[in-house]
Amino acid sequence: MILKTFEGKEIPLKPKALWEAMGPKAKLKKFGGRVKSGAIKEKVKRTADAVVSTSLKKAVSDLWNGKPHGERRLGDLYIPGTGLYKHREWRGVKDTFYYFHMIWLYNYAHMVTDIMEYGNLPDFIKGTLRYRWMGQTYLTVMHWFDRGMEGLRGPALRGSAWHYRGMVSESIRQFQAMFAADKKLHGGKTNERWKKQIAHNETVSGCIFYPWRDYLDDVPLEMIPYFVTCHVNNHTVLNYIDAAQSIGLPADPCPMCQAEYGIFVLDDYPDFAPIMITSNEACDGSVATSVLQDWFLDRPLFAMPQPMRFDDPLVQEHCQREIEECWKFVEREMGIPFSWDQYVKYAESFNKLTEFEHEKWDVAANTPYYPINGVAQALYRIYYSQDGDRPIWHEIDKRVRKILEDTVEKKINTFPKTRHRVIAWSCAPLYYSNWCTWAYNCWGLNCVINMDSLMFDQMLRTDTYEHAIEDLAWFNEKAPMRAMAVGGHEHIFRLWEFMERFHCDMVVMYDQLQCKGMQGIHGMFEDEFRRRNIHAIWVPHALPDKRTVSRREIRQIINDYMTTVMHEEPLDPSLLDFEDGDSW
Amino acid sequence: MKALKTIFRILWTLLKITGIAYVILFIVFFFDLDGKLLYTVVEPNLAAHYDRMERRDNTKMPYGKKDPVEAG
Repeated sequence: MILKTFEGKEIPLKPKALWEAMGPKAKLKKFGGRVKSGAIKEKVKRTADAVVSTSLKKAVSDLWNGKPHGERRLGDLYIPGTGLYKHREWRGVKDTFYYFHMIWLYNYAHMVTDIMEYGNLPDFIKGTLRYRWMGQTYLTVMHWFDRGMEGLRGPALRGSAWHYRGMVSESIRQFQAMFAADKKLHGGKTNERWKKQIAHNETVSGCIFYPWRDYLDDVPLEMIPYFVTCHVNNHTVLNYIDAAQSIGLPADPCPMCQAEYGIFVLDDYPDFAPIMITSNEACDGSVATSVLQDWFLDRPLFAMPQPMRFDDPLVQEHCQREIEECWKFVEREMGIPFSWDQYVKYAESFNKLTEFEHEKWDVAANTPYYPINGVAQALYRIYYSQDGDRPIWHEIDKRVRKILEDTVEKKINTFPKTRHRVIAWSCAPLYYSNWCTWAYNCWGLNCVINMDSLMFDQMLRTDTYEHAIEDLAWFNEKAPMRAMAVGGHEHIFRLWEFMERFHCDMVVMYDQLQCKGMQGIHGMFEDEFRRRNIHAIWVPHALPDKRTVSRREIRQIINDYMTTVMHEEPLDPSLLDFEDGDSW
Repeated sequence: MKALKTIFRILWTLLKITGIAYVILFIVFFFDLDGKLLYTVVEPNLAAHYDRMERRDNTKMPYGKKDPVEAG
């Protein structure tokens, strides 16, 4: 057993080693260092100043309501390097206890009940001990909530937290479905569940499998082992990227594709279904992933590519035929016929989610009463629209609708310190999807909408088979990264249209350094930003890999722009610069 | 009356246990003790466990198993 200190040292869990590393002598040395550096003096001075300048009335108000935005000093709560908190934020009595009861306790308790509901405890334990992406990531899930919800109050806290709850529940459903059928956890034997599941790429839409939803369960293979882990605990994914490169595969393709096949190189994938459906989404790097998965999985595999220039009328019929071929493949391999009735049932149910999404966009675009923050909006939308219709999304939407209607009715300004309404464009850094929470707290940059939320904007008609297959093909083509990022320059330039629609005055332009498609259009964006006189902050990143551009560097880029170009002062100076390189 | 007293005593004991558990949980929550435990003890030990784990070398799987694709 080992113990890792906040400074990153690993100490054996033995009395002598612990005494040497953490005993009074070591503590005194550390304290001496802090005295020498002046940190203690500064802290005493700040505390004394605060005590002198605070009246009793103000102290009671701060306790009851929480400190006002400009006085919070959220950066002081961090333990340097780790992203852990010395203590969690005091948000006032009402919001602190809401967080404690309805977020922290509620989610820990429901993580346990979900595990029992969607599978069983022995499979969960076996899966946790078998798969790195499982054990190392999911135990840290409450910190993912913390990072996304820093500084939030009232309806914004509630609405955003419900979105996170939906994602956690669906993630548990997916990994429990994988573990229940996983041959590797059941002595190499197939069970009934294994025979009734379909594995597919995380970028193949769940909507494709509606015709079998009541008989077969479709589970995206990389959604939990790769995509969700990057957000929750980005330590895990680095193993898979390195594994891919360790067998001589090139290091310059998209690190998402590298990580996805790295899972296979490390033999860290669950074997939970007899067939696999892959996709070329979003780029040629994904084609390589499919080829490698075909090799490693060694089972019937159907590759369902989507055209790059997807809105060319000539490719529509081709794309529809691809989906029909996929359906024939499922029928043949699984022995269960296509069911039109089931398709209609689930497509119509999914349309209700899209309708509510449109209502949400309307509130976000035209009022200051939208109770969802940037990171919750982005992740929830991309997750459920990729995943397809599931009961949890309807349950969450029902709760969020109540909060949304209440907020609009009472005209509650959910982000009152908004200085700029921001649209985030292109593909986001997965290891720092909560940058927008930081940007609002530090600078008043309110990320109202982002590109990934605007994908899959397609209602699915069910009046005739011809309409259904036409709309499903469009839906499939409007997938993340395809619809705008690599689907042709006229789509990525829809930014201007959405800036106007959502009344945004600033762009945070993600610059995925290993996306060849987006690198190709960088210069044209520069020209357009200048020509249109738009404030745009380029945020470089390498999607899941925090080693290329760290979170601290991303913050520094935004800080530099806000001070040197915008000439603005931070709302919370304690958040300007802090070290969180080792945080989850 | 004696039975009522016993019921009250049990309820009072339950209330005390619940209250103590509530206070402990709030302390764990507020001081991020769950995060600190996971960061300092659970994660490094789980990571060491995964590092030690024997894994199948998937690259040894023959690539030529698939049926040849016919041109055209």
